[in-house]
Amino acid sequence: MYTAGVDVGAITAKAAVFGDEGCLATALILAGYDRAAAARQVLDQALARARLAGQQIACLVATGYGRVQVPGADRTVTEITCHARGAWYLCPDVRTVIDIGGQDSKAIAVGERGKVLDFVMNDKCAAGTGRFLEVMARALEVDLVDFGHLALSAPRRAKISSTCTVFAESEVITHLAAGADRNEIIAGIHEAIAVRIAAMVGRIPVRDTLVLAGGVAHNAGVARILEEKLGHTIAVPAQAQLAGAIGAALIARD
Amino acid sequence: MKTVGFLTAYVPEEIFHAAGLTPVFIFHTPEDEGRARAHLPGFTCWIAGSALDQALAGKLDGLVGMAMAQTCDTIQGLADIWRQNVAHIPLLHFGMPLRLDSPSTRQYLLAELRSLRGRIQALTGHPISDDALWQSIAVYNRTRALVRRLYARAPHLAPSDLYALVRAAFRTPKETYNEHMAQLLELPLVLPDLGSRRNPPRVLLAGCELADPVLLDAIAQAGGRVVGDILDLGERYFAIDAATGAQREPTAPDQNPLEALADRLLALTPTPTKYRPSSDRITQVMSLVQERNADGVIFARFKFCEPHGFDYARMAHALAQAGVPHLLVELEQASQAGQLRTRVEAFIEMLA
Amino acid sequence: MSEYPRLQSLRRINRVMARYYVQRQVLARLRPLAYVTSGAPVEILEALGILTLYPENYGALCGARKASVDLCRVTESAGYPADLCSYARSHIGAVMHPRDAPLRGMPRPDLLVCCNNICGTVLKWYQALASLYDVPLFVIDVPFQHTTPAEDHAVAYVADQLHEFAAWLETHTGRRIKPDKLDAVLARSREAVALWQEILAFGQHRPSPVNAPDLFVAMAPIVALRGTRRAVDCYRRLKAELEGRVARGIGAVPGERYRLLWDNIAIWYRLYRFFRPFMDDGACFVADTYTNAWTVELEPQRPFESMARTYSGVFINVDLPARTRIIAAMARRFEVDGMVMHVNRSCKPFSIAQSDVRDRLRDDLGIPILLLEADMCDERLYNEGAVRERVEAFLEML
Repeated sequence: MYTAGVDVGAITAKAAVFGDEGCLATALILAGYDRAAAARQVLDQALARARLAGQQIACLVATGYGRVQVPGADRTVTEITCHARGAWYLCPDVRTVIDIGGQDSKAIAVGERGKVLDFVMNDKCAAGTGRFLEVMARALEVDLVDFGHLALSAPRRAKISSTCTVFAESEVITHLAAGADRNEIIAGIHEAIAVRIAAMVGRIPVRDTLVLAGGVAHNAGVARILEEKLGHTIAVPAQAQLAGAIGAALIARD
Repeated sequence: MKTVGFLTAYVPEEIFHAAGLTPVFIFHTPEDEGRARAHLPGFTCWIAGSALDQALAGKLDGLVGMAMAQTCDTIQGLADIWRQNVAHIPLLHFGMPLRLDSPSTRQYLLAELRSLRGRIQALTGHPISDDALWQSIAVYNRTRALVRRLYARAPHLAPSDLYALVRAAFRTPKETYNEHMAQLLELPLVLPDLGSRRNPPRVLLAGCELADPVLLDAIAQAGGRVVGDILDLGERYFAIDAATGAQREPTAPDQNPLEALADRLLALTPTPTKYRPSSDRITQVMSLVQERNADGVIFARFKFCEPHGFDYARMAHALAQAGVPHLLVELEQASQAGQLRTRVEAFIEMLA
Repeated sequence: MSEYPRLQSLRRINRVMARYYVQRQVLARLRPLAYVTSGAPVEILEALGILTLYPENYGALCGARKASVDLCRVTESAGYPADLCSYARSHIGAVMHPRDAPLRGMPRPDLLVCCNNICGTVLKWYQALASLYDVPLFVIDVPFQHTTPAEDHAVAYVADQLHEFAAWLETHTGRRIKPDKLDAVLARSREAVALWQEILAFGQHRPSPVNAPDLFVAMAPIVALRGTRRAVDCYRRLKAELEGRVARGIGAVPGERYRLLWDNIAIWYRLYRFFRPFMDDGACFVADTYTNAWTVELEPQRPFESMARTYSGVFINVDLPARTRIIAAMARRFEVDGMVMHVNRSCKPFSIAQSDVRDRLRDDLGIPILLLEADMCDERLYNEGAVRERVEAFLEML
């Protein structure tokens, strides 16, 4: 039996196609403004890679911010449930999922077979999400892809105390004006986001193994400093960003 | 029809009714005309902000007055600000005591009820006789009985239908409401399509006022059911009648209707702003979970609400200790529907 | 700060307060200890020899020592929303993690006494404490005065509760209240309050020998040691020192050019630093509404009724027109050139009607009034850049 999962987020759209043997193919594209079109496109890409046709899919589960706009979806399930399941597939020992997306972040306590036991979300505030890093990278005129490594290269971290992205940005500018080392500021930014995320994670029981998912998972700076704050090692699967789509495809098999 | 607006769960509506007024609750709306924030700082809840905004934007001009009971600091401040800025809708303050069971509470409460009655009479020029009060109490008791019957059917109703009907009790003249509700409750139950799920997750709701429609739709969408609540304007508001007991004749000369009202207000399950050590709200929510066989509790709290905020922390702790799943959603003037929906749906999915 | 003259008495007060906390650690093993809200009728407790500690004062201490943010995080991790009062969040955090708290926290209370004449949040805070410590709690319900003067039945309600309160204390401590002891305590409170009022009145001099931050430091005894000889002592000394300054024409801000009024609670983590730009510009805060909150009179006859009336009439328990009149009168008496109103996120009663108060005062007094958003203890809510801009613009207006 073949199933598919589509995860339409605020920034990217992901798809995964599953067969009895497991994951056959995945795809990831930018979502743009037309979520329905993005959903169709990313699913088509995944199907093409799996060498399957749309009609062969027994069940399609849609998840993510734009889940209600996915054409042809048989069910919609929240990204919390899907991320838990997907993370379990990628890392069967997972007990805690930390998903840091472009616009929100979540921590999920995971039980047997990827079942959600508890969760906490931050979707009100940019600090603690990818947006925070985006804003800061722009303020410092640094490429986001380099951000994490630069953070880890600094021996010290500048202090950024504000919880608000807007306030923090003005703190960064003040540091720059005072001649502080740019990498130390970058390290401070990563410390600030890690502290925020750790505080959120602390509201659910934190158990090994911890898995990082979502777009920001590949920022080594965030991952490393988060490990420090939580006192646990954190696994970052290669397919971290696809956890939602994978979980959706698995749920489609239920 | 002369209407009087009100806020808070402790306004003795019957007194207004006995003066020929129709009390209508001034629910918050998502629209913001930008008038309230010139007076109320941003760190106050939108329940207060919306009421003030509506008043200043001229949307409440039909009201002959606005009643508020002493409850939280925000409402207290709103009353102050209202008197200064909304002179055309006189503010009628009611000093509901904070302590519900001190030896001197009842005396003070009765004095406040007498004072309120006097001020309503002065405002409307309409005398409020004991007889008229007893009659209003009878009408309101009827409403409360009907809403209790409605709540008994909660697990079989779509959550948004349940609360639409409860909300109507706060906006409709009671006589009309009673007539229509009585007819509605005679109709056979309509069981919504449960799909493939045979044991829909059963949730309790907690918070101020009534439940947000987006929240209710999300519960239904994910296949959940509401089996009860400890919302300030929810079950507790209708749970206890005034002057209960068939033995008590409304026109018996030795009975004082204000005492009946006082006793009712004191007997209600406290909201977070009231204190009765013998019936802590924490134990209340725990026993309701047991009684209704609830799978989880959803707290909807307005940002900046201190009373519900503090209670939430202790309730969440007690629920966690008992292994009862719970969710907190925070509401504001422009709560993002998508975010609210995701959290609630994920929670119901988790319970399933 | 070296170019600004420092008041010696403040150092003494700081030492007295440091000793106060240490003494309570010791004495709490011998005498019953109650946590009390700042507006509670502490004289009754004092008359029974019950030790008192003030979580609000402790909260201010956490703010001043910059320990609040970490403590707030503890409380928030325990499920308390981050938008609650920062005194409560700081204190509850200290109760949960005493090892990380200033002074390693306060000793366990035997009793909790909560009076809502300052706000409704204290009920919730003290309910949380009752739960955490599992000790008895007494709540004194003081109705908000929507009219001035207070209504008789409201004052009677409070007086009745004070009698009930005294009986409750007697039951829980096995001690009996002696009327002459209560009278003696009330007499000392009156003396301390009278001295405090005199100290505040020094701000009327030109130049003022005292600046608001000095008063924020000096106020601790009137809150936490009211009714004791030590409070009277502290203030006699401070009064003498201020008399000395006046005699020699020494102002708290040399070259005083502008006289300002401060509204609301202090910004504890910027206690003196906040006022630096003002002081540099010759601006002195000669009056404030926070320290002025402890100037209520206590009449000698009928102690319970007099306490009821007094504690009902505190500044933040009276209606908006009354508060506005009080501030306007203060502004005139002290001849201020402008006002700074701290829009304190944590304190709704103090902050909620500031826009309206400001509008009326501006019309009435015709002076510039700055509204400044911040928080008394939670430094995360303090935007240095925004504050600086507003303060600079305001100083230019003067």
